[in-house]
Amino acid sequence: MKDILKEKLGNLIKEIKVVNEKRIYITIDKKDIKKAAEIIFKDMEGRYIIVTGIDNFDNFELLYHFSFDKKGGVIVSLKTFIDNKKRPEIESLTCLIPGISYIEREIWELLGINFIGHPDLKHFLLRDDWEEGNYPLRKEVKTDGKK
Amino acid sequence: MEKNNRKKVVVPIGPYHPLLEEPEYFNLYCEGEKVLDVEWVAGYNHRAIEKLSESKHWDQVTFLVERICGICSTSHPIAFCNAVENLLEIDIPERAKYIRNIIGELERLHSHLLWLGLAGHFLGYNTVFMWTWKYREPILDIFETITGNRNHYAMLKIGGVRRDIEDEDIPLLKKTLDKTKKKVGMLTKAVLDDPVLAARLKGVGVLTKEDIKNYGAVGPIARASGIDIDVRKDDPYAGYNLVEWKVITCENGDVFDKAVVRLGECFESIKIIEQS
Repeated sequence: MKDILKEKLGNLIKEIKVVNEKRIYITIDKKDIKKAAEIIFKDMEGRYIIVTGIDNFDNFELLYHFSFDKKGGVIVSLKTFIDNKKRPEIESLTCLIPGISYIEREIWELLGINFIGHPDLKHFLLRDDWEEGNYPLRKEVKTDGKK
Repeated sequence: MEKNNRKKVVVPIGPYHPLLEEPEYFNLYCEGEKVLDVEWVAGYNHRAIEKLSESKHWDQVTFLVERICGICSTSHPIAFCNAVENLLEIDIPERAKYIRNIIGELERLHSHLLWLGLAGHFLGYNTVFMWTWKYREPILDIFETITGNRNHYAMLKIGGVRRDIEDEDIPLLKKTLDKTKKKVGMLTKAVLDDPVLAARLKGVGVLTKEDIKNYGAVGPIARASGIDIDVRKDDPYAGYNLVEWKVITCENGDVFDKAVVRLGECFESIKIIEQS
């Protein structure tokens, strides 16, 4: 599996890490994420699972998970970092994978990452008049809601 | 969106509506009897469990994530335990694997019956609702006997399970399963042969294989559209690789097939529990 991924993704790969036979993490540059996702989703027919957004204090990390169910349930996660914490943004993949729309909206409102090119970026879980700039899942927000 | 929907009738449902179990809001864009589009607003019940988990001890999180869903209160702790066990690279005892099988499948049984009952209820076919929920009840009783709770069983723990299933409870479990099997058989026949249900469900809400792929649908929904993925088979957790069972699929992807898949899975669940 690792070799196939290496061949398909070529020089888009910054780093490839095989944690065990079921989990492969591939670090991709932010600007290449769409190309990489397209190869995995369209060419290799990986099943899109979900996106995880993490606040790492210094940067944001996004993990795009894809599963290969008939190849032993291998999960390939595309990992990308967004370093600009003041204005985090990344290209939206909604036009490639329609189902990704909801999680992009969720990450946008909870972590404050802007998905460029999302057709309908509006609140999903939070109320419509939620104050701008208050992103509940950022690490500086405590569980009582205060910063 | 606005422009396209100008000529359609908008039916708002929710956020508080007797039909809904939880507050959520749907705007249905209809043309005649056909729903063409839907806008879904969620989040009325968002409790920020992911944020709370950050502040809890890892051993407490198992029970916190159990509260994500009141109907499927095993799936989330199982996922969490699997994740932590993978991280720690530990293997759980065989008996615990079988117990996880039993709890997981009993839950699938009650959940599928609940789904079927609600489907009947939404269609205005309350007999189906009354029947399925009546036959679901003994499964909740079994849960109470072996775990102490009808819901939120708190059976899972990282590294295994919290309670053993006592030997003296097993005859009752077997008896309940036998009865359930007969009742589900009866329900299956009743549902599949019913002309009203067929008329209401066949060809409605069709998801093609392409839709399934694009929207990342899984589980019975994907299987009803002819995609034979099942995480219990493809990447077995708990003890699903230790027992014999098969993945149920259908072809049409309409609501009728979704019911057929779920009913078929009830029998597989019973098979798995009996072997465990």
